[in-house]
Amino acid sequence: MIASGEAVQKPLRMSPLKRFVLGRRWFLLIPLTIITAIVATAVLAEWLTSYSPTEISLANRLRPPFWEKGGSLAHPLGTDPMGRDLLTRMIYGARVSLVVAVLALLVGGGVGAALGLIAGYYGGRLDAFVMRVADTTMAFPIILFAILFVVVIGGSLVTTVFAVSLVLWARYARVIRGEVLSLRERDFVAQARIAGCSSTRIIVVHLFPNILNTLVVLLSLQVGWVIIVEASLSFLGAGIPPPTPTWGSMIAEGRDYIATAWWVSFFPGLAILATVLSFNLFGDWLRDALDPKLRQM
Amino acid sequence: MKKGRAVLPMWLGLVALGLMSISASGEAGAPTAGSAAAKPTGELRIASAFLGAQRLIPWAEVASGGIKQPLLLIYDTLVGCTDDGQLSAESGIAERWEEAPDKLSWTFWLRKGVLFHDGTALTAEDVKFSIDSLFDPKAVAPLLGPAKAAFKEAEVKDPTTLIIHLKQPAIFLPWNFSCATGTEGMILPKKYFQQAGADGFARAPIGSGPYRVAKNTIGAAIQLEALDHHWRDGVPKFKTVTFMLVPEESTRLAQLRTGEADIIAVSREKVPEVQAAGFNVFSKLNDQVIVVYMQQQWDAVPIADARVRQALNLAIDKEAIMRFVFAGQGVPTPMYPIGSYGVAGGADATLQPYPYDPQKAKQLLAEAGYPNGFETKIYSYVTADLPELNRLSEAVADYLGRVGVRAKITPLDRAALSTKRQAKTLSGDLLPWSTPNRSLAIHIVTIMHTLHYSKAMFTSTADPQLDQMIDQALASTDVAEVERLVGEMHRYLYRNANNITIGEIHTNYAANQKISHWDLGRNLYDNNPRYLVRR
Repeated sequence: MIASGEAVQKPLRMSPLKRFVLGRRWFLLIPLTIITAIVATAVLAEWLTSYSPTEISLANRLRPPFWEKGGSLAHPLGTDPMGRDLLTRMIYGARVSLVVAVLALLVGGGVGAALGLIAGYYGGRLDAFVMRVADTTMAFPIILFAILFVVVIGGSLVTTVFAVSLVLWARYARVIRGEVLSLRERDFVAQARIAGCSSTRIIVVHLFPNILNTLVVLLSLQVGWVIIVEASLSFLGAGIPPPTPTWGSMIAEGRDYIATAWWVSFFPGLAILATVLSFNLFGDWLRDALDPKLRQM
Repeated sequence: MKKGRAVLPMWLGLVALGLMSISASGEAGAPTAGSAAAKPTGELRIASAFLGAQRLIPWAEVASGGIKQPLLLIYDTLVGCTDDGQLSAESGIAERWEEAPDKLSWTFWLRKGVLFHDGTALTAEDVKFSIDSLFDPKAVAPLLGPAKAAFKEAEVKDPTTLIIHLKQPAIFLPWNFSCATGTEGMILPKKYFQQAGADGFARAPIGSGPYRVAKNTIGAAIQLEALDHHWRDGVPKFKTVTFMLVPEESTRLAQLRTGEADIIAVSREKVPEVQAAGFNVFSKLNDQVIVVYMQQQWDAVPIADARVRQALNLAIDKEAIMRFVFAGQGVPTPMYPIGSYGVAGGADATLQPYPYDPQKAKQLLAEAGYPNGFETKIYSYVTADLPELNRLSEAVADYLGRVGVRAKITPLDRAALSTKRQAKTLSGDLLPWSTPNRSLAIHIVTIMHTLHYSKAMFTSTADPQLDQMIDQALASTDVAEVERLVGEMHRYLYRNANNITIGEIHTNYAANQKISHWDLGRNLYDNNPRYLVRR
């Protein structure tokens, strides 16, 4: 029994730091730090290194990292088979990876979300048509698709973004369309319709804000995937052409030297691993925070 | 007396042994090598970077696809060749050949007793059939060169005599049908081919070479099985020879280390690595020429100006490229298609490669009206045997960038580039290429015709003066005159800098201890696999 005069226990007051730690949000610090560093590196590339990422120096080729015999701090991570500073190329490579990721997500995500909204809202034949096109697109192997693109049009940043976007939109269209199918039956949409709102207004003003969380979660989850696809295309020689540094092409350049100059492939590989993992962890957290329904994705 | 009785049976025994050894030599024709008692033993496995389409019909694909190596063991050629690239009356089907005084026919006297793998005799009918096949619309015979236009008909005089009639003189005709050139001189069995049809023959081809086809798995391997005895090579050394298609070099290296392959094609950069691992390395020195073609010089493009072409040659440090991109396995050379391979027929030995002089390059560009340079494209790709080609494109683009020429690196598949080259849709572009070095005047004139004759399929120039020199060389009936014209063309190309010749590079193979000697020879598209199977 509790004595009547006993003081009522006060609710537990935790400091923000304690809440952060107990809520295990501290775990986010690692990926967020990596993401911030990569974004800062990409933006500030010109100020971070004095070397050109493309100018060759054949006499300096395949210099090892500074801690290996023959290495020096002038090229902390060593040089590639054309004598270019590896760290410099990785810094500029980050810019390429992020630019491709952002552009492909904007184009693919934008087109996919728009088509998903339209298909979900209108339904019927339009919905069936958009979804079948999406199914077909998703069934097509993206690498093969991109190689065909490169052979016909030639590799470039635009080609790579276009090739990735062309497959990416379908994923967005499917998920957004599913959301809209349930949203369009809700009272606020019916009320908007009764109030005389046009379909365009309902889609833009009423439905779009309601799918925004899902869209943001999807975008964050796809960043890593886009970076992997870009790196794969560059590795196969179907991405952005040389001498522009990309992490994928840098791995490919080192493939022939894996036994004698491991650093050429290793560091770009490490960069891809760290970046993709960080974006995936961040995306997972964002999903849990904004839209727990998507947890099964 | 006792002693005399003992000697007689011994003599009789020796005579009997001698007779047995003669009969054991099997197929007719004098055995030239190998012991009668010996038999082919063991297996030789060769990991190649490419094997073409593996159709195994000599005229079905170009020799450059790597297919010539197995074909050389399956078939004999009309005219033989020595390892160092000369014609030989000992190693081909023809024992003798002669040009008519009017130069409008060649007569070939054939070796008697040569058998195809099915036991039928090789006759002049088979030679005529094989030569006629080269003129089939489906046939690929790029190395027939000027002989193709000169050919009138092949006449069988008797089973061992063949006469080739010509519309115009073709003084190098025996070279065209020899193993020193391509696969055009290889002899097919007429009767069997006609019975089987082209597809049936491709499935189970037979020739008269020292090896018969045991199994041909397209895209994987060609397995050959030795005859017990061959008229030229005697008893082949290995019972089976397998050519494996392994485009990835790291896989080939692993195969060599694990013993899965005895010989592998190895790139220039890997030579120190395999040597350090204790493997033998065999090289065909200066085998290939690395060149950057300047396409469609007849268009209104900057490279139409000879000063611009000279500037591009001066802007590139070829020594550095040879040293660092091609691992020091080669040397810069003045001007392709007349290389320095051996004593190139008629080449001007006094010419030196364009020096690295970026200042002079800038000056020439300014004189030509391009003080700020210009924009162009340079193509980038790799082939299984030349993993360095994309690095070459990067290096050339970088050097050109330093004198203001902005060459955009454009990756494209080599087959697609070849199509564009034929279609003439590479106006003013730079096209890195590799091609076998040529030492004979006939080979040089043929390749000059391919690369520089105005109307040729792959030409990069349309220059009436060059056309005239090529025409004269092709029509000439005197070897010395052809060589003089080759020298003239060499100087003309050099002065006009019609391409950017980077240098000549070595072709290398690494082998385990099974192979201690291998002369890769001097023949075109031919790494001399016959040497490996000789005892």
